[in-house]
Amino acid sequence: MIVPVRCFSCGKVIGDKWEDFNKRVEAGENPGEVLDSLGVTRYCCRRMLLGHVEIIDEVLKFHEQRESPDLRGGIR
Amino acid sequence: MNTKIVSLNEDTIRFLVDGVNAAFANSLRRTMVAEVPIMTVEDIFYFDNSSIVPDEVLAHRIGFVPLTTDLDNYVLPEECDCEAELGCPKCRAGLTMDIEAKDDTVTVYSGDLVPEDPSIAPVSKRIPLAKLAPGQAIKFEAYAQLGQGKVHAKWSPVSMCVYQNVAFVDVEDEAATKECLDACGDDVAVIEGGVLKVIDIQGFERCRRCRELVRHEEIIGGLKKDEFLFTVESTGGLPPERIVKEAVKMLKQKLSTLKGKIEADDLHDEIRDFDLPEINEGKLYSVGSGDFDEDEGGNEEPQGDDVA
Ligand SMILES: [Zn+2]
Ligand SMILES: [Zn+2]
Repeated sequence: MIVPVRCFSCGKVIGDKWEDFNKRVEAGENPGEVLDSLGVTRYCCRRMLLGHVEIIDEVLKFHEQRESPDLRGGIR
Repeated sequence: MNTKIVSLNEDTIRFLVDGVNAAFANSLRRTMVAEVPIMTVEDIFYFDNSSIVPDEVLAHRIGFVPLTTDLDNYVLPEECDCEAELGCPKCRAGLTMDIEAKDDTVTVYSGDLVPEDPSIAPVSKRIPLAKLAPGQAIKFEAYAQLGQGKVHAKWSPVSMCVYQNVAFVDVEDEAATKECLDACGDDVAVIEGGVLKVIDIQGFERCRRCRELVRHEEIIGGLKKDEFLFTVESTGGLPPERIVKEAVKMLKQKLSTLKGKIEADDLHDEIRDFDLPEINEGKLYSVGSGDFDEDEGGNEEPQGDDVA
């Protein structure tokens, strides 16, 4: 749901690189080059960021909209 | 035994060790991975967590946040004389978090952990731990302790700790090789008295020209059995050179304990003290609330009062 803190295989901290990685890739940069510049060299750590899908923002929407008039009826 | 530092930066050290065998190199590696202690959060007391990340998931994430470690002023809880469950100021450091989302969605970062002792603080402040929708809050008290990698991977001070042999190869065209080496750098390979010393084999073979000058088989054939290149990458809890120093210190300590025991002929007692685990009626384990009758062959019946 949210980025893992560490690489599953080697234990390198990769959680702090996700936001930077995601922002730069969405801006159109080459993911491989972004990973190189972030110092993520091993392929175990690279797949952690490359393969990650951040779902927490989608789940959070249900909680953000809770008090809004549009959804109030549905919740009640 | 000789050591030489090949390269050192804030999180990685590469060094050469010669005059030791692979068994020694491996014991040094294993000491670094599993024995050298660092600080991480071990106990958390929640006062509030209304976020969508459950308590145990959040606790697990916080445990994996590496903390800067002060090895000189803290001791391992099992070596501390306090014997308290949560430790004393000598064996634990507190961190707190109190964060609430008011009008906007908030991302909770490792930097929001407030350390009691500034020398025990998160290495990276940008690790996302949770996200809060308006109205949600997280409040807890966490206790960090020293620990070892053999107990839990969060306490391992290294994210990579490897060693490999160094190779010596005779070169035919010394001038051409030298020219290529100048471009590759002397932490990859050097020429010592007409013989090419390949320090970092992968680094050497990454250069196409070097690869053409020296074949892979020649390198493999020229591996030196008693010289190693170590690469140690720290998670940030301790500086990499400190990890190596601590590992050497711990290994020495262990070996002198063993030596003392051998000299005092003190080994037999310990072996006699070793008890086998109690085996209950031929079964090594029991499941849940009652034992299962395994003779029924698949028809597992719980042995209650009615089954006599
Ligand atoms: Zn990795
Ligand atoms: Zn204590």
